Amino acid sequence: MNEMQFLTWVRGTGLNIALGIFLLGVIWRLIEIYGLGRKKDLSAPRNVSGASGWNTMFRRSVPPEGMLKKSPVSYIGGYIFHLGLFVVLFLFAPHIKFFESLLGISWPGLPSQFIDLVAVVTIAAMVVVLVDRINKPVKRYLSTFEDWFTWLVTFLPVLTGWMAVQHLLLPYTTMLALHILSVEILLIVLPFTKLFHAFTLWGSRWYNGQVNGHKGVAV
Amino acid sequence: MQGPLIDTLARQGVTRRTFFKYCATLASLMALPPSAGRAMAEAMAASPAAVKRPSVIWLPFQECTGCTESITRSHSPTIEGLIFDAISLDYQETLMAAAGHQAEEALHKAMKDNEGKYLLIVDGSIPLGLDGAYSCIAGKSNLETLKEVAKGAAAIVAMGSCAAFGGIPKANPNPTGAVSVSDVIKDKPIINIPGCPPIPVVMTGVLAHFLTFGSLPEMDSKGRPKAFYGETIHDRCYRRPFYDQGKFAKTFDDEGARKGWCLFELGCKGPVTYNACATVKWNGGTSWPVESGHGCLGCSEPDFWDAGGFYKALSMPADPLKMVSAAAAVGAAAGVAVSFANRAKKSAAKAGHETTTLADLEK
Amino acid sequence: MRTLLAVCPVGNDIVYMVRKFREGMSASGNAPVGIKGAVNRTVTIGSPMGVKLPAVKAQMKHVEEDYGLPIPMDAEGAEYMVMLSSMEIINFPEYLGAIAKIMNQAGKTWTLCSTAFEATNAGMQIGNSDLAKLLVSRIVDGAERLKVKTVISPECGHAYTALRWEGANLIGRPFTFQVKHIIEVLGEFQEQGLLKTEGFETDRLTFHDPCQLARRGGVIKQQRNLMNQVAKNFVEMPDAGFMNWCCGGGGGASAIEEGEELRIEAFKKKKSQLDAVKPDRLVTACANCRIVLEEGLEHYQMDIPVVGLTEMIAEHIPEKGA
Repeated sequence: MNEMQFLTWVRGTGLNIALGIFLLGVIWRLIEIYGLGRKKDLSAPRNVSGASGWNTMFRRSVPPEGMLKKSPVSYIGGYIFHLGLFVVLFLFAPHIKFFESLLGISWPGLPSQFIDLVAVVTIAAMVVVLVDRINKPVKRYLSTFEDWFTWLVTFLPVLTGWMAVQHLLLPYTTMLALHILSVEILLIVLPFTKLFHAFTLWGSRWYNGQVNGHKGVAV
Repeated sequence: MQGPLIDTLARQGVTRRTFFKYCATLASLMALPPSAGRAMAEAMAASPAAVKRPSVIWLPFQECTGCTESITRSHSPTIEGLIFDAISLDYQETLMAAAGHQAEEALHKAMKDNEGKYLLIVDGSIPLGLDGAYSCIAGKSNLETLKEVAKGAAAIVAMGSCAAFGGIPKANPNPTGAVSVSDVIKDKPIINIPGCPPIPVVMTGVLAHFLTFGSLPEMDSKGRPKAFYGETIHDRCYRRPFYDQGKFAKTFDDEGARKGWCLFELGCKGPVTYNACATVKWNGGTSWPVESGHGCLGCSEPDFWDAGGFYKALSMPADPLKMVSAAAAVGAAAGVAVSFANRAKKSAAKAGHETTTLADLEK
Repeated sequence: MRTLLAVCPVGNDIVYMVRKFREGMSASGNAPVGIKGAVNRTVTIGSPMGVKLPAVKAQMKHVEEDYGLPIPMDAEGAEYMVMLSSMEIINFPEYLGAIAKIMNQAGKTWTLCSTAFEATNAGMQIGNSDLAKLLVSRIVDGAERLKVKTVISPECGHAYTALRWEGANLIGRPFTFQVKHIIEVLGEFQEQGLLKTEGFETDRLTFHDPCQLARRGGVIKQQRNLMNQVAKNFVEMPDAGFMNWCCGGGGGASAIEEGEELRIEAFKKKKSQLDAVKPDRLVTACANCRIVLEEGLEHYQMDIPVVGLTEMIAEHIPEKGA
């Protein structure tokens, strides 16, 4: 298989398989998780303004008072790499074209030099977050194989994408194919690992906020 | 075609100065040191009639003659075309006056006289299906001919994408079982000059190199001369700044197209195509596909014909995603089924629940 | 514990995960010995510390004598039914006296219940919902038998959560009465002007928010207003309130010997919080917090007495007729 066949495979068959498994997994798990249902809380609610699921969904996007100082790496690093992933994924012109081909909608992108900068910052933030995980005894103790693995499958698409654009290490065609392949691995892994938080995040936050809002606690 | 090349050139109105300049340009195009230009000029120009010019055999297989057209016509009359004066083109069906038995005789004579020294140029792919019956010359299959002629060749030039990579004949579903020269011949130096057709100057550049140094120039992993295939179209494209700014033509007739914005979204394969079109251009430097408003097809890359559609952006799926809706349906069905199973499990657990007592704590 | 509930960006709440784990461990007979004993005593005797009704009655008598106020028991139709925790019955009888004084001043009717005086729900601490349900049912039966409007949970975190938030779900129907923490009741009295105090504490005081009351119970403002009513020099620790740090170990971790090392380690955080304000005394509203805090303070040789808020308020209530 030459690199053009490799690229065509990852753009064709590979993508077909990966997106198929991704969709299958996402729909399956969403239905399963939300299909479990929750019992109605029979205790008398304490109504307090600001304490509800909706409030928590938004409030959890902002570090609670004092937490930014306590774990700056987790918060700042976490913010940077999540926002970076968002920008790189959704605002890079070729990516938009990809989404357009799937969804039929498009939106304006950002200049590639800017995306390039964001990618570098994202890579740096992810490395810092990883080093922090290795260095902090508690974080390291709490980390399982899944934590390292999900970090890697998230990191590889950013790294290979950036390296492809920068023509590093391998010819562009090969690197582009590797980039798409790494995205496909991510797509396949996402529904079945903790990366699924990309989908369940809002629901979990809402539920947490709702349970505590019932008690009049604005979490 | 008598006497030193330089005299022939002079007769055709090409000055010595122009010729040397051409050789220097050729050398720089091929990333050779400046001295190489002079060496090339001397090697080619000085070859007197007495000195036997290197024999070249050109075999056409499953091809469209586009490559020959490109070399001989597109620049005509050009210096590139005249380079042939420096060689003895002993067999070229399209160009030679001889036909039939005479032509075959010329071939065999050239092979015999120049055994181990002649340069073999192949254009077109070699069909392996039906024992090669899809393409025969003088009662022999292309496969037989290639093997026979390659045996005595000093080196082989696979001209055009068909000879280099199988090309359009090899496109899915490849009914003739077409393969490239390098799929058949394993024991000779082979240089690929892909393109559909290849750029004329690349052809002449490689010939000049062979004539001057008696060897093939430095090649990349796909056997292409690095000097011409070292960079992608995209990286040398004059429209690249628009790509970087995120300015794309969305149709062939929108404002972006008229303003000359990047053709990436219209399916340009420039980013994955290694060729010199963006710098050398076509028709004597007149223009090239992207300049004329059409994206690169990627014709110098293997299997360009099957690389997911000419008008699909490179980041778009190459094939229609057939599995997706089925997968979504299966996922939904699985989710619902598992949900029911979970609920059944839950109510079974509830029904089967034995109230824990103090005794249980001490189990 | 605190961090996950309050800060987890994906909305995990580990308490419920731990609860599930305890459920399985307890049902399979793998709960720690110490807590099993507490559950056993609560279910068979009626209180984790083995306190029986006669002991309560004896204390009632003492308090009636000391305070000159009646301690009603099984008074049908009283507005409030007051729950106690063993800790209070044995170690802090002042609590009962304090309630009597406060209720008397507010002019509210109240009662103890002979069949449900113990608020501690050891079933919830061990994580067993069947046993927790059994214990909650006693209180529900008592409250419904006496037709009270409100059941008051004592200064005990788990007791409050078990009754206020878990109770109705454990028995499978909404309560016919309200459940309030004593601090909530005091807060209401304060708002309604029914809580009149005299004099002030003048030493440097700070307040430790019990997790079940504040972060998991939604009672945060009341204790501060109450503090300010009787204290001149009330200072807040950093992170006080919703984000307050743990006393060292909740009702489960405090009930087992194996948890001591962990409690002492966890207390370091509390220590740094205390070091930041250097109080003369530490006020709280949870018997469990109180014990764990005292353990930690003793371990780190910090001379900071711990007092209950209700008790402290009661000390400032003018004597009857005065």
